[in-house]
Amino acid sequence: MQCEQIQRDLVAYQAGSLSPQERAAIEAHLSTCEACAEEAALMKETSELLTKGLKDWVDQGVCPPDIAERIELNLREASGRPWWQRWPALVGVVATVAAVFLVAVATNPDIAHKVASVPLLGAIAAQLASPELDFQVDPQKPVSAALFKPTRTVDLNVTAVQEDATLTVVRVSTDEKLLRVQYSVAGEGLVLGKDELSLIPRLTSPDGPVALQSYTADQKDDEIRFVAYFDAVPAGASLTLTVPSLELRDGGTRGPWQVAFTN
Amino acid sequence: MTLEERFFALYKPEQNRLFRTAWAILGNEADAGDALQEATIRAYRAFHQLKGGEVAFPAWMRRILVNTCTQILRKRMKVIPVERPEDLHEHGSTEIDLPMEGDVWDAVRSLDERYRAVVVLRFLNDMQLEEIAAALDIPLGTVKSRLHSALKQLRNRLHAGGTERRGAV
Repeated sequence: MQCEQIQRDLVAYQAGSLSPQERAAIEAHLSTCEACAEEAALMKETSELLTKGLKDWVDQGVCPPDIAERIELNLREASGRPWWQRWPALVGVVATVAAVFLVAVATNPDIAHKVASVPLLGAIAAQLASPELDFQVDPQKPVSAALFKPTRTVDLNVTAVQEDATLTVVRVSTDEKLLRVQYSVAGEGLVLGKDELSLIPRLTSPDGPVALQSYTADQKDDEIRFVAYFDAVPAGASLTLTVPSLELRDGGTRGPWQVAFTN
Repeated sequence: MTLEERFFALYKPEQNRLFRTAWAILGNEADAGDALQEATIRAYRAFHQLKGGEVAFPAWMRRILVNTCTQILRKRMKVIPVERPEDLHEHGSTEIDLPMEGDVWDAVRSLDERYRAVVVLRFLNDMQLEEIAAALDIPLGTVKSRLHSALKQLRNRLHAGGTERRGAV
């Protein structure tokens, strides 16, 4: 065997990855070739240095606190352990609150939206009224009603009709960072479906498109209610909302819709 | 103790080492954090399958982490061009810029990703060459040639490259 080939196989030889015949051939060569034997010794020395050095480096490691915290939080969320097992003291309070909210939230979307803005209760209500679709532009930083504290709300009830399906922009609210648009589409046979991406609304202001942060959607009979969060825009801006087409139960689609309003 | 608490009690003492293992394989801390996060979730979901009791946990957890890391590497390497023949030889010009002394990790991290990955999987994780080939979805011959080339580069960087330098190690 040529020295070059032998030296190329030294890694596999030292890792114990060669057949007995290949191994014997290399050993026979090393016993007669000083240059290759020297190369083998250096390879072994480097390998041992690497093993020790890398293992020492790993043993001295410290996981950055922000990563450790993120992992712990993620693990707790993934554990799927029900909240009543994590905070048993809250059971009584939550059970009462839940009973009241469940009725209110399920029957009246306005109550759902108002309750959702209240700290703690908002989180509970959000859990109870868990939307059928929940699209987050950045899942690492979800935007929800619990984080939204509106300083200005405008009741609108402006509509746009496509055939027999009506888009209604119910209300627009603003806080320091976000603009919330509550709208619904009503029409016989409309279905929400599962494709979050196909229902992303677009909002444009005189300055151009307004970035979407999240939206949720829920169906109740022939009405689909949406709550979308966009980046905040100044009060009094002329806005145009475009809502993509929705499917009908028996095939076909309705929409898209476009409606202009002032926040 | 709940399942979650049992898992965390076993995982927590390993966390620092696991983080650095991921860092070594992936080459940066941000990816290491993401990989460790994903691996802990995978491990937690498979926790009931752990055989050999608590004593087997560290090696089991590390295996899941290494698998997670190599999956990330496989995806990443798909966008790295196939090595040219000259890549398999020592990068003489690069070595001039490298410190003649330094610790092992500094030397390993300065390698091209393809070389660093096989070195870490072999010498830190004690994986067989065939396992490395399967994990990275590359031919066995490529693993051998990358290791051979990497060792030659590292030998010089670590001052193990010749009898005249050996005393400096």
